Amino acid sequence: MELASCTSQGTTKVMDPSAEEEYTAAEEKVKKTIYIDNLSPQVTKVVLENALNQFGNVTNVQFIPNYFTSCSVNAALVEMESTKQAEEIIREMSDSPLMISGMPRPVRAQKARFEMFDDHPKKRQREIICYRIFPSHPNFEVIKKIKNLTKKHAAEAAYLMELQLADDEKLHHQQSDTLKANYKKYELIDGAQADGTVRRLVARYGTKLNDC
Amino acid sequence: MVAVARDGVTAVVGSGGGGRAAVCGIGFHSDISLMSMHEEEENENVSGDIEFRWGRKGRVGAKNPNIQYYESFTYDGVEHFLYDSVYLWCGDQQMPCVVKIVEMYETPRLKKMMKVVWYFHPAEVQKWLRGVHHLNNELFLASGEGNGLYNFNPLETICGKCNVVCTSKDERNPKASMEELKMSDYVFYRTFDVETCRLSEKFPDKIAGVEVGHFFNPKPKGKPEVTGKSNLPSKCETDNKSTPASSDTHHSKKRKLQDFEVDKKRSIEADNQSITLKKRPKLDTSEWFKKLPWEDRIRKAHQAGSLVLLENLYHSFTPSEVEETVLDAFNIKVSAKMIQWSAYSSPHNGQALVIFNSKDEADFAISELNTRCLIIGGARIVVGSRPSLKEPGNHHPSKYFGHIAIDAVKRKQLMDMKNAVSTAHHAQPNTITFDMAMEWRARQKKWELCWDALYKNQAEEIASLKARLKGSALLGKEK
Repeated sequence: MELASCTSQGTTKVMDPSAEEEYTAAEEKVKKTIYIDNLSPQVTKVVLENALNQFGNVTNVQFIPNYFTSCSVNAALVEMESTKQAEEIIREMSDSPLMISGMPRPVRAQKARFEMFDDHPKKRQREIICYRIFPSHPNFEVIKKIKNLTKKHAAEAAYLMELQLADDEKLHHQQSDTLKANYKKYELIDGAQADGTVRRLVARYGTKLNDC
Repeated sequence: MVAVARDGVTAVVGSGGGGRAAVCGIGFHSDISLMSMHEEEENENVSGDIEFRWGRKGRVGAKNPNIQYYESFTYDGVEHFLYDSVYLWCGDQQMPCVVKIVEMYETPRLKKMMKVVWYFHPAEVQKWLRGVHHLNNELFLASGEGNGLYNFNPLETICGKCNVVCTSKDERNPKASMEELKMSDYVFYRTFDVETCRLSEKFPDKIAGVEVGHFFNPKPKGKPEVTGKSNLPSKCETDNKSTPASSDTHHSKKRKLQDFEVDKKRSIEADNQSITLKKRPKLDTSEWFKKLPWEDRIRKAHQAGSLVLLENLYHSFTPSEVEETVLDAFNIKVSAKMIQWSAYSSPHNGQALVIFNSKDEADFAISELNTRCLIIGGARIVVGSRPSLKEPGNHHPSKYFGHIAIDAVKRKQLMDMKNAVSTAHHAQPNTITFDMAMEWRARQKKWELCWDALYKNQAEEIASLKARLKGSALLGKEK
């Protein structure tokens, strides 16, 4: 069987105490952090800090970088002073929408996860065994299929992202149009009030004018 | 006479022998900011917290023999020598000041002080420059007599070494080489007389009582060559190439780096002998050189063709684990960065961007991953490819919808719909804003469900394929 095993890292599954400490400290940090997305690309660190400082004390803001063309998510990790503050904010935001740097699209907040961070310590002393499989191996074909599947899945995800963006755009235009129409209506009413048309109509029809 | 004012620092018209200096500095220890009479205990404290050690002794004070002068000291692991140029933190100024240490001593009360001569930034003496042209990274050496020439400062105000090269054509000044110029932080070839407030290209014989030779470039010594013995220096080279700061040959490293390297080499050779199965020794040669931020490195690597995207990793991988895996699998040292998990990331596909040292190595790795298979932990099959990155220069902002603005909104009725404000806003339930926000919320929820469904689907596909793999020895538990 042509199986070339490359390495086997330390087989101890127990972490040494300092690493353990690091890990628990990191866990604490994760609990205090909020993952916020649906941010406008114009939102800066300061803006975000100010926005969330209303609810508590922001200790750190880290934007999640976007490297790939297919990805257009704007997200940030905001660390608060305490786990309680973080949880409160997440609860508040799901009740009433918070908008940052523009309206009306609200931002979305959820609990941060370990994997969102760039610099988390090792989970545990992991055993990394890597195999090199050669074409004659019976599983080779299936493995190839799995690899192709990865590519297919990535394409699917990219497509879904596109669809979502298109949908966002649609909603945006829809709301924009509705808003403009409403605005026109108000303008009309305003104009009518200002130039006395309304008063004349009231007099004509003999009705009362409710002051709004 | 116009005094050159530096915020937070009063210039001392010194009369030799331990003058008092106002402290300028955010020091490293909060106690430092109040250097008053009773500081002995606090001084002890400071040296206890951050490692400090005097170097070679010099003379004792002429007027006060209780003052001991020295030729160097080590603070927080960095050694500073007499006549070094360093950065000094001057209180509330945004830019640190550059100074040259001309004396370093310890007072009888164990205060560690130094006498520094100032370099002026052109911006600081703008008033007297009157349109004289200067270079971007040029400094003026203080000269003459009076306020602003030198100061006595506590050692803790130092915030880093500064590479200042003298480009004066004065015959007493050794000419700086091209490489030294390239590596310099600042240059100077003019002096600013603090008494007459005038620039001059002439250097007097003494400045602040110190021979002018100490201000010029040091006389060149023979630089020890780093001979490449083990494979380590070659790895240094390859790392070297990926940082433009040291894009010249590795022979012209800064002197202190060379000494450092020679020592490291010896200790590392011993480690290299040991078996790789043991815990890997911490040879991170890439940390020896100043690293660019990730954005730039990734872009450079992408242009060079040495950037590879690894997929199907575990999300809980750390960059060092990725690097180790690559090292084990292909025997190539790389730098890796995990792609941070976002709300839309696939839970099965942990990704990492890996910077190889050359296009060839990247090609090799990708072809190996394609023709053969690399399985991690028995359950994840690694896929490698060249990623398509966002164009950085092309700053058209990524699409974002949902922020609407109305022109000419000065109507009272429409106070809700203000123009896009740079603050946060909580919508009240009876406004149009609230309704619209709720629409967005509903959308978000809908898409969340879509993504969940997609990934669930994908998980099933993966599972069904994996079930077809024969031989359970290959598949460990999904971690």
